[in-house]
Amino acid sequence: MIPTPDPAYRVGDSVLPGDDVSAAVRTGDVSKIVLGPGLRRLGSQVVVSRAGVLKMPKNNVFVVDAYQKRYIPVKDEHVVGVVTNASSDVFRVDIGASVTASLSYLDFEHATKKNRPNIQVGDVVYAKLSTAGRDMEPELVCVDTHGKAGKLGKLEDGFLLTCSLNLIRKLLSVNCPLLQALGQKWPYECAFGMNGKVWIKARSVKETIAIGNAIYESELMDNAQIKKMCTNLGLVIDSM
Amino acid sequence: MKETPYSNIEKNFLKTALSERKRLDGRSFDDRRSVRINFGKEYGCCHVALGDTRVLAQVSSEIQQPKSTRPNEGQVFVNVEFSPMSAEHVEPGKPSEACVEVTRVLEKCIRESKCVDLESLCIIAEEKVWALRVDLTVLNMEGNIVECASIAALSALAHFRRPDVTSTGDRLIIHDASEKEPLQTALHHFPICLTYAIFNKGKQIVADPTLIEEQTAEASLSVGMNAYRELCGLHLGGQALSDHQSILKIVQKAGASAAEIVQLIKKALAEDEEARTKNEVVGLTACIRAGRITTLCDQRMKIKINSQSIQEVAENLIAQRQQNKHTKFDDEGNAVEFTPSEKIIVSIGENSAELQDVDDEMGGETDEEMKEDLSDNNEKNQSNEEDNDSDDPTCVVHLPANRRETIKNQPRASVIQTKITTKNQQRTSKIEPEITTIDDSDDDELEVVQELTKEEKERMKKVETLVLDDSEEEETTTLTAGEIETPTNNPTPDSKKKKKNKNKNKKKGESGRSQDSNARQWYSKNAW
Amino acid sequence: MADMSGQASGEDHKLRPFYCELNVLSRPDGSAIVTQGETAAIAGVYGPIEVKPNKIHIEKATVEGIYRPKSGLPCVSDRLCETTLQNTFEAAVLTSQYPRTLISISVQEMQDSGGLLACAINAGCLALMNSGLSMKFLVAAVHCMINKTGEVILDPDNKQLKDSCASLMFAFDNVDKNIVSSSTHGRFTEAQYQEALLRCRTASTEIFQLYRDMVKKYAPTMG
Repeated sequence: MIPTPDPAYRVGDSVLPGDDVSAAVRTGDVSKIVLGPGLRRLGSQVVVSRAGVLKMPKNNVFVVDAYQKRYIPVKDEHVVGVVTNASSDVFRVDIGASVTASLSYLDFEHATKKNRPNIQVGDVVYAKLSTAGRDMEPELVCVDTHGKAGKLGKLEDGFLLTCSLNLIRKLLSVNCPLLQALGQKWPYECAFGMNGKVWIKARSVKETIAIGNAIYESELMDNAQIKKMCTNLGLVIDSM
Repeated sequence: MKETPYSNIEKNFLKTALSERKRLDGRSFDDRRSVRINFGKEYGCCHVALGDTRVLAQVSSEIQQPKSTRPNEGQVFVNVEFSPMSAEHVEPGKPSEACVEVTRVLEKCIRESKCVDLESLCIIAEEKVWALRVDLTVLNMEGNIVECASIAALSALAHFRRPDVTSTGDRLIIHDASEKEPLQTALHHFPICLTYAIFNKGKQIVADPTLIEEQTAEASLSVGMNAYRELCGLHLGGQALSDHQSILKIVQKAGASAAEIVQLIKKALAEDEEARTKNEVVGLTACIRAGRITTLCDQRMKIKINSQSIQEVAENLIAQRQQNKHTKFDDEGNAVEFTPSEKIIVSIGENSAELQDVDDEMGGETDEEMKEDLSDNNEKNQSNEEDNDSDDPTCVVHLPANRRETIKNQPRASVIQTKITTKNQQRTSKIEPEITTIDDSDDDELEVVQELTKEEKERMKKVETLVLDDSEEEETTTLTAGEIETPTNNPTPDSKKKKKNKNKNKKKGESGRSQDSNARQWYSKNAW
Repeated sequence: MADMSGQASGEDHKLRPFYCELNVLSRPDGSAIVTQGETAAIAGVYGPIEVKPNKIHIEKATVEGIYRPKSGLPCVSDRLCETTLQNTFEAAVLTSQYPRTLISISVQEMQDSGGLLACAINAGCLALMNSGLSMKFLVAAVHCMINKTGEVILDPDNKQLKDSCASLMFAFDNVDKNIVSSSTHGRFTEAQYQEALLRCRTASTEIFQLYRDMVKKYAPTMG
């Protein structure tokens, strides 16, 4: 009755919730199609569930990329969280999700019932989600499957930034030059949580702030711009 | 739901930074964030943004019986509410402890300092007086709510008009605004609550604390102060100070800031009044369109992604970065300095604006020529600065300390990085007639746009001057107007990329401009 | 549809200018400010966040709509607005995806020049879009009135509303353009209702197109 705008969406188009993108996802090999966040099946249709851009990061994998600040836990993702409570056998860790995640005292390297990790309320931990799902309380671990801590565990000094989830994904993508370019300038450590928290630690306050800025600024830059920014940022800080 | 506190490392980092005399957002210890005041269409309504903290105020009046102890005085109530949208932990309904505290501080400052002439609110002694109620709604909590709310409350009170009343013996006639001009409230003075956060037993005192500073501070002191440097209230929260000297020091500083803010309020009031007498569009709607309450969406997107406090540091640092970019190397390998050409903002339909070169010739010039022009512009700008001081509501240019603040604000309010060269300018002018023919109702909007353009233009000039000034004194912390966000704005000789960007921006601009008319066109197509 | 063409040719079929900006507040997960003519509303969305035990739903998210007037405490009619908002958004959000959580949508009145509820719904919907929460569909609300001579006037302002004998608000979804919620005041005939409905429904396309343009506009920023 009322004409709707051209329904033939393609990968790369901006889409709205309720748009039917069945045609777009069925273009290639249709034996197996993976629908990522922002897409859902409704009968035989594939329907968009959030406003953003339809993307195909891998073959036959489709997602709708949208701006997001709030984290929804996903199993096996690495997050940076703040310890909000320490009870008899678990820490409660705020990872920015709807509920706090639990982190057992025993899920640290070399931890035993006697040998407890030295962590206080307000400390920051870098951990991996061992359990997550819409019906489960998220659980964190600070060890890998071999019982080794690796890079996980308590983070000390430095500063914590909070940014959008899109930025984290962008910086962690393989072809993003920012972290490497920054590393060529100054030595620094960082931990990226998929929950939109970044921990950075550099030699001085000034450098930490500089890196933080570079991270924020890179949100809207393409790779060439990022490289250029790093070169310039380096000049400024070095001359100070 | 409890408020999630900041982590230990964030607090420690802040303390270390402060001990090095650095604030996370690049301000100096006495700098305040920018204040923006916008009045609503109705009298007594205003929206104040102090950095990212936002408060909406509305004054309403009703006739009541006076208190028996004060039979010939009206009443003023202050009511603060934290909107559930202001923070995650705020629950609708019951006022939180913090809310009660803010209310009390403001009551002390506004009601008990007798800034409102209560006797003028009396209609019939012992029987009928006006009761004014100031409703303050906190929309976004990013620290220093007290100060933001007090500015909002005073602006709204000063803006408010109550209906005129005539009493004929036993009857009271309340006149409608159309019958009799409504009356302004008499304010003796403007007591502003200025807040300071105290760190390290009074060794570091910062003005206008952000959220993280507020939560990390040992104590916070709110000083009620009017433009005459009279104290109207003092509220100390947290652990006590170590000595009385600190308080005296704070009060000293507060005097100057208070005078500045009062001036700002008065300027905003005068502007609103002028717009009303000229029958221009007033109200929050108009402000939104002009991009004053909130800036353009694209740009906002980018800025808001940054967390509040750091974001400003970012701007500051980028400033340094940008400054660096102004130096480029000429053929002999010597560093050559040049400034970007002057830009003006051209609004192109709702939610977008573009930068254009003020001087058409500038666009065609090579970098070397620009360099030569630098000195000329410099002089030009300096003379402009003095002329324009009174024109710009969002810029505070009173003290050198505020300069950086001013500059910092520029990009938010006005820079959407679209560089239009002469070529594109022709394009835009081509589009214009089309638009006007499609949609006649756009006409008055265009007027607004033009005014904005003028204002922005002046603002930009001013900013550039400031930049130049500052760079003489200290080399690092400056910003240039058009330069904040992407390096593409620089007149670097990377022509290929520039071109690409131009195209992109042009597209953006066009879609923004024709959006509304497109929609309408579309609609009529469908309807037929 | 045949009867539509006649009315659409009139001057009064247009909506007032609609402006919006997304992500205006730093704290909420999604926020938007919307102005329709001189009516303005600001909305902020938090979600999914922790829900109080007494409001918890095991199989779906609890959607909480909050509406705040500019001055004074919320009265009964404000509560009604709140319920309408809540019902509208509960239908629009894909609640089954976020069980045992809370999605809170608060809308603040900023300026009322008629059609505030419609403006509030549109602001809320844009804030939801900005938050990235999964939704079944988007909603667009259109307000209209029937004046004393029985004509339907679309999106009237305060002045026009003074001689209205009924005012109607409809919210539509963007898939089938069905009614998601409606709220009416005053007396009108069934024919008038049908006419108002059709007109509002056609006008909603304009708002949906605006939503689409908005997404197109900020899409490149997501890189």
